Amino acid sequence: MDYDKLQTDFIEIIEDNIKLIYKVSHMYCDNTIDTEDLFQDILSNLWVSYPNFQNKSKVSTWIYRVSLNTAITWLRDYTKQSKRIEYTNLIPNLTNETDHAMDELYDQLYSAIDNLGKVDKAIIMLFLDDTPYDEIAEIIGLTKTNVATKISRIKLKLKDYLSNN
Amino acid sequence: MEIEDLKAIWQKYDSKLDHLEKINKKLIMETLSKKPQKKLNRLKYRSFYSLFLVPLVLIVALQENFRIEYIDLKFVIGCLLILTFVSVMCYLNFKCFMALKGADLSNDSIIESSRKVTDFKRLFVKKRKFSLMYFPLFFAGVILIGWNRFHFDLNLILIWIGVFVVSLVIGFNQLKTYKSRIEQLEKDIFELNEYVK
Repeated sequence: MDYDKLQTDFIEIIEDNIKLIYKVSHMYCDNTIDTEDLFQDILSNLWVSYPNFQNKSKVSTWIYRVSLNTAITWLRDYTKQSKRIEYTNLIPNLTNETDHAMDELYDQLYSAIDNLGKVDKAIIMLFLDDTPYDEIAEIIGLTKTNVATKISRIKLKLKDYLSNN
Repeated sequence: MEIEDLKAIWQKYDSKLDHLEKINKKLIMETLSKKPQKKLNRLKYRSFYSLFLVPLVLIVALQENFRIEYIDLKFVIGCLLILTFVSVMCYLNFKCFMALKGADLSNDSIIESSRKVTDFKRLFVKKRKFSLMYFPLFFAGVILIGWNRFHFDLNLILIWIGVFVVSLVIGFNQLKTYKSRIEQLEKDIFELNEYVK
């Protein structure tokens, strides 16, 4: 396959799954610059692994896996902070009007999830996105039964957090 | 707020994201042309370069002192102190490099990635701790190696004290970062243990 075709197909896939990358980038970062940086890293890593992606798994599974792995291995605190990346507006903005009441609820949701560990965060995100348990198991590296158990535990953790806050 | 409410908010959030602008293809293409896996690669190869860099810098810096007439007990003790430091640092750098070397973002499961990263962090923190604790001995080693070559006068002693104090202050300033890394690492290990036991 020639390079241009590969790139066009890839961009099409990204376009269809942009929401997913957007969510992961926002879930694992707490400021705009870091989010932009992580978003870029996810795109680069998806691009690198794209030639080897041979539809063995679903596109969403592959994108989730690379995105979440990039976020988890994204050791921001371990690299020098002085070299800030240029702000590129790579992440698309929302076109609809802002609903402040709703935004506050999204913030509450993010802060509740932010309280979880990195793997728990990935599991609950997949769960909230209605990903089937066997797909969650494949991405996370657990058995289907363990996924169900983990989700129940994470729900309890979230419930605890929400009742205390 | 209950879990079901969370799910409802998440679904609304998901619908809100349907209104994301079209992606900027030109910017995406620019991003794709940049070096991939940059952060991970940077860390991986920094450990790799350090493997050779630390001994190399020492050889260049100390070569003037390697003369037969300078070799005595002080010189040998100095060499041992420095070699211990260099060997441990090389070993830890090698382990850091190996911890990230096998990272495969498209095939590793999230738990596998998390384990590799936690191993890397553990080694990185160990390396920092060792260099902070061993620093006075390393400093003593440098003085002992150069003992026969130095002409100890007030200026030289003041310079040495100055260098020591400045290095110590820099080391202490890093303690805050070090502590926060330890706290984060403990959380990561705790979480990982829940998954791999």
